[in-house]
Amino acid sequence: MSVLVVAPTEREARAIRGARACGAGHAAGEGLVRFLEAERPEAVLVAGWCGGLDPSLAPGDVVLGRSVSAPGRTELRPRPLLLEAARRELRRRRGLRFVSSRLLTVERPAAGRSEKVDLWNEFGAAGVDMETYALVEELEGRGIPWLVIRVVLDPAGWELPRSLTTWTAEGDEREALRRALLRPWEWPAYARLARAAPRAERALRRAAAIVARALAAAPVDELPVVPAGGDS
Amino acid sequence: MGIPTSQAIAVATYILRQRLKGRKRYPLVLMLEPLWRCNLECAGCGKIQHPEHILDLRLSPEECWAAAEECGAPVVSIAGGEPLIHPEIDRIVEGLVARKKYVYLCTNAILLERWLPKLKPSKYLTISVHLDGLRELHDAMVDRKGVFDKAVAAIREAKRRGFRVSTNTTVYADSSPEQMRELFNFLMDDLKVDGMMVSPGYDYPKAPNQSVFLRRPEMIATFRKILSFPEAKRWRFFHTPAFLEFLQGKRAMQCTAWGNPTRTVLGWQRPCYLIADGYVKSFRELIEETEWDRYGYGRDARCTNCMAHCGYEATAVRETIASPLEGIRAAVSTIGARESSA
Repeated sequence: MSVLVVAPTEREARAIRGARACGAGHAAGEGLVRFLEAERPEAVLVAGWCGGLDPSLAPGDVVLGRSVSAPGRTELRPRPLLLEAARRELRRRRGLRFVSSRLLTVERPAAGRSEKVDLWNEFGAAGVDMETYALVEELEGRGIPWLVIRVVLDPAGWELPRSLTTWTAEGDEREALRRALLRPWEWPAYARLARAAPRAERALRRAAAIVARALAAAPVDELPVVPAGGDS
Repeated sequence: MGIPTSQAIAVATYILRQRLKGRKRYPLVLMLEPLWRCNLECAGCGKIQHPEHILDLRLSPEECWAAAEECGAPVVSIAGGEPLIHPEIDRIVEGLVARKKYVYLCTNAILLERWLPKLKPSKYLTISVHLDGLRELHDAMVDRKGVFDKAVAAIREAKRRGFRVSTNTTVYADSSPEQMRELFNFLMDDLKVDGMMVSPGYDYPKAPNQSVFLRRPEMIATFRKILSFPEAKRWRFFHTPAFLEFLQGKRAMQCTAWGNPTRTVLGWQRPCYLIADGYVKSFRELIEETEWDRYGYGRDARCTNCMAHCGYEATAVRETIASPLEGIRAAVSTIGARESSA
């Protein structure tokens, strides 16, 4: 089946062969709709980076979304056969650390360690981002099968630089950088992110290719539709 | 943290040795269940709902020793079922102590006074008595009157005979923080136990009374209250400071299911002490062929309301050893812990 791969930012999309940048944060949903109408895919893979909430995950670890949560919203789950096919393929590849777990979508970057601990305790999500829920909700509404992979950039134990906490869209990057230049005490945190980025990028490229192939190989007609709803 | 200094050193040395050997997964505590039969039917227990022919099965002392050697963990927790129903429990304990394993003999203490003359006090042996509250609450949780009084009498006798005695308390929905406070004060001040273990109850689907279990946010709120009482600072827990912080929601942790492998009468239980997704013949098979990353909070619905020490204390210990700061905190809290027996 034909698969559309979307990633929020240009930077994430560049890391994945054939991916489209749908926009970060609130803008992502509209970007996705444009691609859906132009390309009419049979399935969609949402891919990108995330903040780690599961403390056992390190930069570059892959989270295959077993479910997607957002505060106050019904948990959304991919079709089990698709999830299992992707899990099987990821397991076969050596050197790629992954977990199949819950992903959480919030409106602002989860920057502080204590904020991440609270989100972990409340939602039990392995990773947190700002787009996934809106994207898969759109896909569910259209009955399009989907999977999500997110790769940890900043793990649970890291504090993100404060100047990044107002980041809600790709266009904010320049402003965040400008502010960071005026805050030398944040430079070590930026340096740590910069060191982690290549590893996360490599993992994203590999994992997205594997999962997109698994998705493309799945026989769409045989996939049972699972009603939305949360377990645990 | 009140564990004996010698045990803390033995565990730390063991972990460092495993790391030097480059082992990714290594056990810390062997959960040994030499039988599943019990003389109680507690409200929150999901261990004893097996058919009679399985409840009749027992591991021999030789099988228990072989499991300890095969797994190599420095600590062995003998659970069940009620281990003191096993007719050769004294031999099992003696053999494990001879192998220099730190043994926690978990019991409801109903039969303890009968066994004490046959057991030898040792720094390697701790008798761990199950107590979920003071008289009224405990007897209600174990569904039998008089068990609390029997356990208290057995603890006093064990202490008199020079045994190291700890308690193991499970916190349920019916256990108020105030009741836990009274219990811990009683255990420390009156019974003068060597240490206490505490854990929220795991919501076993097979447990007779499902209403006794707390959900994760309730567990965190309850432990925050319990551990914020002024006396909490002097309560001696057999836990790392990191695990106690985790119980209060102040620290994020993922479960280390392979840290406490479980040997039962049916084989090595996969993946952990609380969930049984099958049994394998060897410890090696358990460690190498279990899909460990499939289990844990957020990954498996059955782990959602689990904050039990059998999964998270291993994480806490590994984090304590890995961080010099955590190591110092743990060492400071260990100072003062008494080596009550020779």
